[in-house]
Amino acid sequence: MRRSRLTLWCMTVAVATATSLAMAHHSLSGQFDVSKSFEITGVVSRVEWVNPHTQLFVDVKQPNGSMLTYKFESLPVAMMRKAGLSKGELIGDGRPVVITAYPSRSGVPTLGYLLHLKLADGREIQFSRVPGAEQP
Amino acid sequence: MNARRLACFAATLCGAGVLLAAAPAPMPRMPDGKPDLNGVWDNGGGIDFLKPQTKADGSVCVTGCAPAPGTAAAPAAAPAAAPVGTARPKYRPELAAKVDDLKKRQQKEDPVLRCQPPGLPRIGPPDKIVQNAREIIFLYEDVSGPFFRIVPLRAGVKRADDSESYLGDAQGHWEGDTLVVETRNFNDLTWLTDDGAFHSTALKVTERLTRRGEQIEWLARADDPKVLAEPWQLRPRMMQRSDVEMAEPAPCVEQDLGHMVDDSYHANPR
Repeated sequence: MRRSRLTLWCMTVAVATATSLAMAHHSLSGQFDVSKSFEITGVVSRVEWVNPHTQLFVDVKQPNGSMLTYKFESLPVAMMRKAGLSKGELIGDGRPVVITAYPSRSGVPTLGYLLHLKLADGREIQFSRVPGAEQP
Repeated sequence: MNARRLACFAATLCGAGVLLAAAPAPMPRMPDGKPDLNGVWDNGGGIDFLKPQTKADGSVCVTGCAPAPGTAAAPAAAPAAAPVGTARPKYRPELAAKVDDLKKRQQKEDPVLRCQPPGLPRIGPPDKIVQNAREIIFLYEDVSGPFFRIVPLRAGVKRADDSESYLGDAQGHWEGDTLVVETRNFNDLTWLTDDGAFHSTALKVTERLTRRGEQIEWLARADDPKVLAEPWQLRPRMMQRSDVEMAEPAPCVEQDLGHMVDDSYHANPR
């Protein structure tokens, strides 16, 4: 598939250091704690197909029955396209997905950087390496 | 024809076939005889390095993947020739402090990090070229949005608005089989690269595009004597022909600055 200079704004630190042509962006470590990750289960309610980061909104049911919406940043659109991923695929079929993400350093608990997505049908999408996890 | 002559004739035919097979493909040319640069091109930068993997069950790994089975590590490369060009421009000594200050404040000052146009030469080679005998159109699919440049091949073409601009006024001509594009009349709102690499409105960018088979060699040079100690020759980029049509770039919507907790950033030479 085609690349495009469309940058790579939000590369993971590892990827960014792996290429001298990395496009730029704010450091992930300036926004997220890249030494940790957390996992939640919820339903993807919206995807913003925008640069420099696609945005995934996930509704997570709380113990009291209310719904809390998390916002996850992810890779730029060009990288998604190159991996064969589409907005529709990320929105999914309304069934719960399992999200693994870096937590935000800004103190907002519902904000994270998307690392891994496990779909209800068992398929997995790794966007960036999960700290401490084996490489798939 | 005896057997010996027949063998000699066959060997000659085979030799000619080998030579034909090894000969480089002829340069694709336009009706006016100029090299044909039309097409979509992987521009040798950005996410070319990305090697996503799709597994048998439909799972996808975009980055940080283990090497795919059967993909042994590449053998050590032969020593490369001395690189032509440099990653960053060299500034006049009296401006070193300004560059350093902008570099420290890149998080807040780099226009690209606020979805502003990248300017030239930071935008890099075009992603698509549309060519005729009078003009050449460069199309870009950039993280900051879609951009285009019109490169007239005849002198005297005027824009309706000739104000200084992000991508300047381009003028093209052919030097043999090389397209040379000289661009002036820039505003000073873009950076040449990251790390505080500002420029003045005196910037002139010269690009040289030479088709080599299924590739185009893109060379670029930035001249800005008001701020640079010497012309900056960028590292060459090879554009690779692609059969995948350009897509409409997604809009650029900055959503990060509000929750940055420090001024860190990572390299962005492009």
